[in-house]
Amino acid sequence: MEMEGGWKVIKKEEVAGEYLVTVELTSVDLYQYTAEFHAELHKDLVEHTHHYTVSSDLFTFDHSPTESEIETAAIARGFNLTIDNNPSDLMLDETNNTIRKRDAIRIITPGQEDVLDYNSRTHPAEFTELFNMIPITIDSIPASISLKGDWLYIYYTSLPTQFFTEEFLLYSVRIHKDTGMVRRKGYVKEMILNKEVTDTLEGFDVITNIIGTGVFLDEPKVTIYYALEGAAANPLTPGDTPYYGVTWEEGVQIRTREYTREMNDV
Amino acid sequence: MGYGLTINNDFGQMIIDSDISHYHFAGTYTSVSDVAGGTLQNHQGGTDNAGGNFPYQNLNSLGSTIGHIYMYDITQADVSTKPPMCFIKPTSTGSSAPFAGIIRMYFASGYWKVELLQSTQTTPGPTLYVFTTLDQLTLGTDSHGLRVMNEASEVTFDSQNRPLRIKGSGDITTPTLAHTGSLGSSWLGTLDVNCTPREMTHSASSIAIDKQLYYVPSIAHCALQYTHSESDSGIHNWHSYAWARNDLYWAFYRSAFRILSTTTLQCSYAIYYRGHLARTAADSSFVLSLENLLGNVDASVGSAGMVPYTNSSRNVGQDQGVIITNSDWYN
Repeated sequence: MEMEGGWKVIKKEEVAGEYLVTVELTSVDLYQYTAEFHAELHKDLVEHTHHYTVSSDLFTFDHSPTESEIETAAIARGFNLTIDNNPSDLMLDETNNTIRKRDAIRIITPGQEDVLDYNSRTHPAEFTELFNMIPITIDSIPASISLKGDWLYIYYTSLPTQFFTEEFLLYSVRIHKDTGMVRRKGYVKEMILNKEVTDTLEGFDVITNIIGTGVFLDEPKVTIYYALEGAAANPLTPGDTPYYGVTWEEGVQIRTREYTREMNDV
Repeated sequence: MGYGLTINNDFGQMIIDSDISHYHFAGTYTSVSDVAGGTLQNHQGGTDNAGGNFPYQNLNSLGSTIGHIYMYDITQADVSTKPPMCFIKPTSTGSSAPFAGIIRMYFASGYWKVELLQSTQTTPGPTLYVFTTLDQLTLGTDSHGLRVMNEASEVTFDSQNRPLRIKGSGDITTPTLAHTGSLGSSWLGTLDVNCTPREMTHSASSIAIDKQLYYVPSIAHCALQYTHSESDSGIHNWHSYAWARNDLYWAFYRSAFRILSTTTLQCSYAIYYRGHLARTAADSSFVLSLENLLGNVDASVGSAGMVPYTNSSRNVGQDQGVIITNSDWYN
């Protein structure tokens, strides 16, 4: 429900020279969304709110108050038109439009060049350039694309039936830019491996604050995602605090990647 | 007038008139029971929420301090047409004393039932000094004194039955509102009485403060209501969430009184009935409405006439007559 902040008099009574004014006070959060943008936020599980409060309060005056006097009294009592919930994934631009803080995700792998993951909405040129490199026909447009070496990584936030039959939180399809070979990984937002399995993973015992599991469908690999202790991270929209993905192949740790926001790319 | 007796004082005020049924002392009464004032508290809706930030605070708050009601059973010959006149002898006096007033009188089970509201509970409660007309009393048997009858030979005044002697009187006005300032914040309503009492001076200063009795009608003056509605939905920590909460606090006040000094009676309020209704849901779509909050809550709310009310004052500016007398004359 979209509401506007404001106030209105819902009852005004004069009794023996004293004016009793009941005022309805409405506060809304700072963030407003178009339907399209809102759908996108939900699709990507982007943190946001639709918060509002409506209170009725009584104000007394020794004269019939003007609108300005009522507003001044309401503000003095703590009324504010807006509620600042400060959702971590949104911000207001210079014209007070709600935008996502950033979209390009920087993927850092030791020994390799950093990679940016481009969203189709915020980086259409880069996205299109990479999309056109895909050597196979794609049925549905992915949410984002990155290029790591010879592999194009395309990501979906809803089930891409061309590649998956099982539902995950997030879908990654790795496509070789020359041969068209496909490798798939689904993301689950919790730890799904049992101890019998994790006992076989080299160095697993030092990992804490696990936020998700990457399930490889075509390779004997697994990725565990974790955040810094105490931090909550969303693999769909990494926060200012990075998170990490450790990948094992047949129990041997082969790499750790860091995922963080591209902070200069609002 | 071809019969009877009329006695006036130096100011021409009638003191005794044989055509008027004067009030005479009928005894003192202590309360037969006491209860806290009425409270309706109800929370409907869920207490869990996938969003994880569901607002549970103050679901059980009542927002105000309820007054205490003392009940008295007054015995009288005629219990249907001639209600007694009840003076209050308070449990204490001064600026820390509770405020008290008689809020209801009705006939039931062979008694005149009297309900007295006091702003806070004391044990025991106030004592009532009751006066009624002579046709409700047994006449004295002394061979001396003054007895007056009307044309129908009914005794209307008898000095043996200790007639009501008014020592002081005046008018007192209640404060405009029982609670001034903000009625609440977020989910917590604050409807306690916080007004400055109003005062009336009278001429009964010759009566010691702990001997003064007062009679003042208490009337329903004011109802206050505070509402808060809040809703949120969105995505938090990977979860889709939605919640809404609506709260309604209200209180009914009756005027109540206390003896501040030998010359001064004060008037303020006590809370007679209060309520807090809350509805919660893991759904951001519903908004506050009285129907929402009251729906299916408790049929007794409506039947008792205690439904929430829009902020308002009632009867403000209407002076209430005060009569002061002396308990020593009737002990």
